[in-house]
Parts: sequence; structure tokens; C-alpha cells
Amino acid sequence: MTVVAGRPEPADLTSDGPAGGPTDGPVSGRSPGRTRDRRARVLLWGGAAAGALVLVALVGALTTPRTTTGDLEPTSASPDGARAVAQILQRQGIGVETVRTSRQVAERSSALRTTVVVHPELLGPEQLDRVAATPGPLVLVDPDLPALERLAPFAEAAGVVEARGAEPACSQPSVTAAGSARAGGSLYRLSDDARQASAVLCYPAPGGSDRGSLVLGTENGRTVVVVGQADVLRNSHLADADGTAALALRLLGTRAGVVWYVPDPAELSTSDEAPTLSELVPRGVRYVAWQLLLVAVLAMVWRGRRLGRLVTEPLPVVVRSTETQEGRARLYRRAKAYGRAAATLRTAALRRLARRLDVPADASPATVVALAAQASGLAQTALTATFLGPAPTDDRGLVRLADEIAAAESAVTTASSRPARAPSSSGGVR
Amino acid sequence: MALTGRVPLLALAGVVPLWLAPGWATFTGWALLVLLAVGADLLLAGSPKALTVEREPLGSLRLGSGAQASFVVTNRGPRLVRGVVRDAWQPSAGAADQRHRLDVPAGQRRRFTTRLVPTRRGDRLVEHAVVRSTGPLGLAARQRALPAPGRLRVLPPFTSRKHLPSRLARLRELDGKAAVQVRGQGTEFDSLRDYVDGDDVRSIDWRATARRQQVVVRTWRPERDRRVLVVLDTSRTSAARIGDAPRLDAAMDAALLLAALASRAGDRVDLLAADRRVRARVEGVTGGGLLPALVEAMAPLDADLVEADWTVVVGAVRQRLTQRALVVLLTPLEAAAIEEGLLPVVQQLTRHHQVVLASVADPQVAEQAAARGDAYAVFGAAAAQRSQLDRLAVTAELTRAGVDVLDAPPESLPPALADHYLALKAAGRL
Repeated sequence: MTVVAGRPEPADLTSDGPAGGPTDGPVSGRSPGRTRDRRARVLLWGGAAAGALVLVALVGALTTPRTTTGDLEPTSASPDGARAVAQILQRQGIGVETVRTSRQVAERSSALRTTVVVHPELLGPEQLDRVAATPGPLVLVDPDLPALERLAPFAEAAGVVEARGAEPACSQPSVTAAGSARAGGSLYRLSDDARQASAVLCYPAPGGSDRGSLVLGTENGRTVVVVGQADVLRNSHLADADGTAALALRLLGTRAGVVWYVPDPAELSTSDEAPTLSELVPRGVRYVAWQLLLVAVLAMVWRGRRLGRLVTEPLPVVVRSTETQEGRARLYRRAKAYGRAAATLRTAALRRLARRLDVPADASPATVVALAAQASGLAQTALTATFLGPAPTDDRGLVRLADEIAAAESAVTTASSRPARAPSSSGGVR
Repeated sequence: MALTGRVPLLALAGVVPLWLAPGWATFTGWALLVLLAVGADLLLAGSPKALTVEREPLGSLRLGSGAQASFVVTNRGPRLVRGVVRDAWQPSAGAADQRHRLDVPAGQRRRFTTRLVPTRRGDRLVEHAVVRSTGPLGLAARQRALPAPGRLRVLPPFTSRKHLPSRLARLRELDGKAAVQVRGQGTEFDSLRDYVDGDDVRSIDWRATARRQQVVVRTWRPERDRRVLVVLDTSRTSAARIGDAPRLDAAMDAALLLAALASRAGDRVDLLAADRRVRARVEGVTGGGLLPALVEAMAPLDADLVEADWTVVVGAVRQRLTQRALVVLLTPLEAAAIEEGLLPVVQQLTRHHQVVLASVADPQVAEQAAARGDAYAVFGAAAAQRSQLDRLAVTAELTRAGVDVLDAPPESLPPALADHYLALKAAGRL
């Protein structure tokens, strides 16, 4: 082992310690020292890593804001967020629920709730369909062409102007009541077939009167508001002196609740139009995969072909000689045949004792027991209980009986002066 | 047809062109190339049909030894045949390496040798040799099984041979080569010879002494030319296994030792193997030819799962024996089988012959009978002792009927039977 200079370690000290240790001290002393050292190092690093993790988690937990960030997020307190609007609405008793996917929109929206869609440009056709199917009033914030076509066909995009304050200049009471508000941004004009409909254009652009940054119309029997100026909802401009906040509240607060849809771009990517994995991988990979499949099949054919058919082996029957005996043992166990088992053990032991003591085979068990007691010096009452007493009725009694019989037999064997004969099963029997 | 490992490798090489020029054209092109190469190789490979296989005759061998099985492959076709040939022996023939490299030019022949170490007794068969002829590219091969029947007879191992020398010494002692001058049962008059110091004075033949003017003694020798008939039971009870070998094998071992001993003692030994019918017999063979004849007869015998028909067996025995003989029944001492089968008819044998029943015992029974500890073990012990008691009862009945009963584990049964034979011979009970 090499020890880093200038860093005395316990292992080093024990290994180079003075005499008194075993002769192979240096060798035996180093090994545990090294492992101890390594263990300490591992513990140190592990502890440091764990501490760092805890610290990071703690800092993260402490610094995580209660609010989020993000443009037009109803929980975002940043200038471009919409928390102020959401809080004002809630103060009015209008619940604001933020949803991220079109499925949630379809689930949560109802005729009693206004659906607000911010960033409609993030919606794919499928999501637009789902939004179109919602029953309640709809507010589209700065929609792009596809969103307009699908959700508000009465309006057409008509360019962009600088943001500014403006008067409503239209006949819609809910808008005119708000008065001057922040306008500009994206402009819209009414489409040709919508002029006859009840669509209304507000906050017209400075140049021409047919373009405006707010359009109210009816589509599928519900009110659809197209808001070209997203600042109307943003924290930064809600407190402007003019009627921006009032406009926002009048647009969103017409029903008992608001479903605030902030589209999640991830939902778009999982829709059918996204490129599949097979389109993303290089073309060669697919063919190589097929080729590898072919290789695998060929390898199977190669390994699977046997060199000639199987040769049959006539096997002899397999019968274990102790089969019947084991079957009988199982029957005893299942039937809990204590009496029968005890009787067999006693009879067999008495037979062996009778042979050892040279008692005729037809002698009564009592005679054999008496002779055995005489030969071994054991108490005759004990032996009588062992061999002629009542049969045991439980496991423990049976085991004890077996042990007593074995003890009695061995006592007789050791006591009898003659050399013991071989047991009956292994020796010849005549 | 068979493929080699080169085909998948060739297909794998197709990955390179596929990566460089992905497309179905490349894929199919390469597949076609592989297909063409395989086809060409198959066409160019030497036809295995042109080969003939001749097997050299094999004798027999004792179980436990090895043999060399040779065969000659002749190529009668116009082309070189190269590849592999497999000598398709049965698994129990113990062929260490069945596969040989084949390289036979047109019109030539090659000899191959397979080393066999059989693992079981009996006839080990081979039906065909499989030839796989590979093409010049080494991609594909033509395969065919060529008929090449062969048979290797594996004889019983006769492991109890080691007991023979000591028993032969005992036999010589009996045989008067050591001076036996005591007249008794089982001896017959041998010769007269001059008295030498140390001879028993009781054996002096006074009449001859008077004639010769010299002291002459009589010598005696054991009876000779008795008949011994060994009956091998091949019924279901012999199929039971002790350890890994069936009881029948241990019985054969005992029969072989007895036969070797008895034939040296000048007795005629016959063998009868039977269950419901006579399965094998050896009669009238004497001298050196006896043991080979016996093992040859025993080799193909296997125990059948049928009940022994002792009426048939006893009838066959009585039909073969006219004079008094020693009948050795090698059958397991299964209480039920003996009581129902042998006991009713055994009197017909004991009336005229000396009958010995030698049974292969299972040492596991004694082991289990001594098991103690918990109720499970004690129930097992009770079952084992029950079967021991049953065996004792059957033994007593057989003894009453005049049958000597030997019951010993496989390895000690042959010497026990040999000793019993010597005892009978010494006692003149043959």
C-alpha cells in the first residue's frame, strides 16, 4: 500500500508499528487499515453529496416563487403576466381556472363560463376544433389566421400598429362603458359576409375606420371577442389611467367563471401532425434494422438445423424401492395414526429385544419387558409404561415414546454382556 | 440442407452497403446475393447420397470399460465430400465425441473411430450415420442420414468378482486339497493313501491296511457334480431402484459370483430368468464358457412392470430338474408379492430341492427406521419398521416352508450368497 506523504493514517501506523505484533504484522496490518480508510473516504464523500443535495433542495424550496412567470399567465406577477386581472375577477366572485390542454378546455368549459384563449397561435387544428366546440363565450387574445378562420370567421387580420390609448368608437355598450383603453397591436377588419351579421368593430386604427383592435361577433350562437391588444390583460397596463381594467373586466366577467386557456406547445407536438420517430431517424437505420432481422433469422436457421434426427433411448423404468414405505409413512402422517405408529415401534423394538435377550419369539411382551428390565437395570415400571402403556395422542407424545424406546434398546444393548448382533435389516435373517 | 455460420455473417456484411445506399433495392439485392451464393454452394457440394457407410462388427464389453466403434465411409461419387459425419449412437452408449471431420475424395474411403464408454447395461444400438457435406464456399451443406446399423452389447459389470478369490480359497479348504479326513455329511470317498505323520488315526482304513501291510488312510472330498439352478426374477419388484441401480443388477451380480464359485466347485450351474414367462435361460454350459454365456444371457434383460407368475416359474424349474438340486431364487422379499405368488407354490420345490431365496435389501429402510427427532421422522420410522416386520413375517413363513432366506444390501448380497452356498456344501445339504 502506498500512503500519501504527510498524511498519517491509522493503517500506516499499525503496519509500521514496533515489535510485539505478529511476525506477518506488516501484511496483515495493512489490509484492514486500507479497507477502513476506504470506507471512511466513501462515507465522507457520500455524506458530502447527501448534504449538497439537501442544501440544493432547501434553497430551491425557499426561492421558488409562489407565482409563476410567463406571458399572460393568470398566476404571473411579472409585467407581462395577467395576475392582476385574475385577482380582480376573483374579487368579483368570478373563479379563474387555468388550463393547459385543449382536452381540459373541453372538460372545464360550460355555458356559464367564459373561455379565454391566450396565444391562440400555439393551437393546432385539433385543438382549435376542441375550443370551437365549447359552449360559453369565447375571448381570443391576439389570434393568428388559422385561429380566426376556425373560431371567428367574421374577422380578418388587417396588419399591426403601434400600441396606444384609444376611444372605443363603436356602438357596443359593454365596450363604450369602459371608455378609453389601451388599443393598437393587431388590427382586424370585418369579413365580407360578416358585415350583415351583428359583428362590431371597436378601437379603430388611426388611419382607416374599417380596421380595429377589438371585434365582437357571434359564432355558433355564442359571443366571440377578438382582442388584438393583449396589453388589455397584462399587469403592466391594467393600472393605466384609462379604462383598460374596466374593458378587461367587461370582456371576461360576463359569466360566473373564466376558463383561462394557456396552450401548452407540448400538446401540439404530440398531435398527429408531429413527425414520428421513424421519420426522424436516418433512413439507413430502418433498412439496417431489417437487415439485422434477416441476419437473426438466418442465424436461427443455422443453429436450428440438427445434425440428423434425435436418437431414441429406451429408458428403464424408475421405481424407488422405498416407494410403498414412503407412501405408508405419508398415510400415517395424514391420518395422524399415533396409535398404529406407536404399536409398530413397540412391536419392532420388542422383537429386537427378544432376539437380543434370547427370548423365544412366542414369549409375551410382558415377559420380554421383564427380562429387559432385568438385563438393563432400568425400572420395570418405566419400561412397562414405555412398551405396554397407553398410546400417545399427539406429536410430542409420539416423539417422546420413540426416544424412550430407543433409550431402552440402547440400555439393554450396552448392558448385555454378549456382543450385539447386527440389526435385522442389514444382516442376514434366517 | 443446412446453413453454416458464414451465411448470417455474409448477411451481416450487407449492413455496409445498406448504410451507404439505403433502400429496398439494396436490401433485396444483397438478399439475392446471399441466396445465389447459398444456392451455388449447395449445387457444388458433394452429394452425400454417393457415400456408403460400413460398420465394423463390435463385440461385447463389461459395463464400465470402453470400446472403439469404427466405421468406414466410402465415396462412390464423382466429387470430393467434405464436412461432418455424426455417429448417431444412443446417448447411453456414452460416445464422447460423435462428430468427425469428413474429407473423402472421390473414389476413396476413410475410417473413423468413435470411443464409447457405455453408461447402462444391455444392447446399445446405432441406426445411422449422418453426413453433412459442405460446399466449397462453406456456406451451405447437404445433409443425409445414411443407414449404418450397429450394436454394442454391454454386459453386467460383475463387480463382486473381488470376493471370488477368498471364497475359492475356502472352497479349496473344503475340497481336500487341504487335508480333510473327517468323514461327514456332504463328503464322499475320494481315495486311499499311505499314512503320514499327523493324519487322524480315526481315518485309518484297517481293511486296506491289512491288505497292504502298511498303514493306509481314507481321504474324503466334498460332493461334486451337484446341480445349481439360479432363478432370476425379472418382474416389477426387481425394477425398483436402490441408489441408482435396479435390484435386478445386484441380483445378477450375486448370481454371477455364485455361478463362478459353483462351477469351480464342480457343480453344474444353470440360469433361468423369468417373470410371467421365461425370459432367458442358460443350460448345460460348463467350464470356462459358463460365465460368458451367463453375462451374454443377462445383458439384454430388463425388469418388466409385470407381476411374477410363480406357478409358471416353479413349473419351469421342476421341468428342468430331475435330481435334487440347489435352487436359488433371486427375488426381492416384498411381503405382498411373496405371500400371494411364491408361498403357495414353494412347497413343490422344497419337497425335492434345497431352496434359497436371496433378496436385495434397501439400506435406506434401516436408515429410515432409525430416524428420530420430530413427528414426521417418527412416522417415517414407524412405516419403515412396519415393512421390516412384514419382511420378518414373510421370512418366518418361508423358513417354515423350508426355504433359506438371505436379505442383504446390494454390495453384501453376493458374498453372503456365496458364503451360504459354501456352508450348504460343507454341510452336505446340496
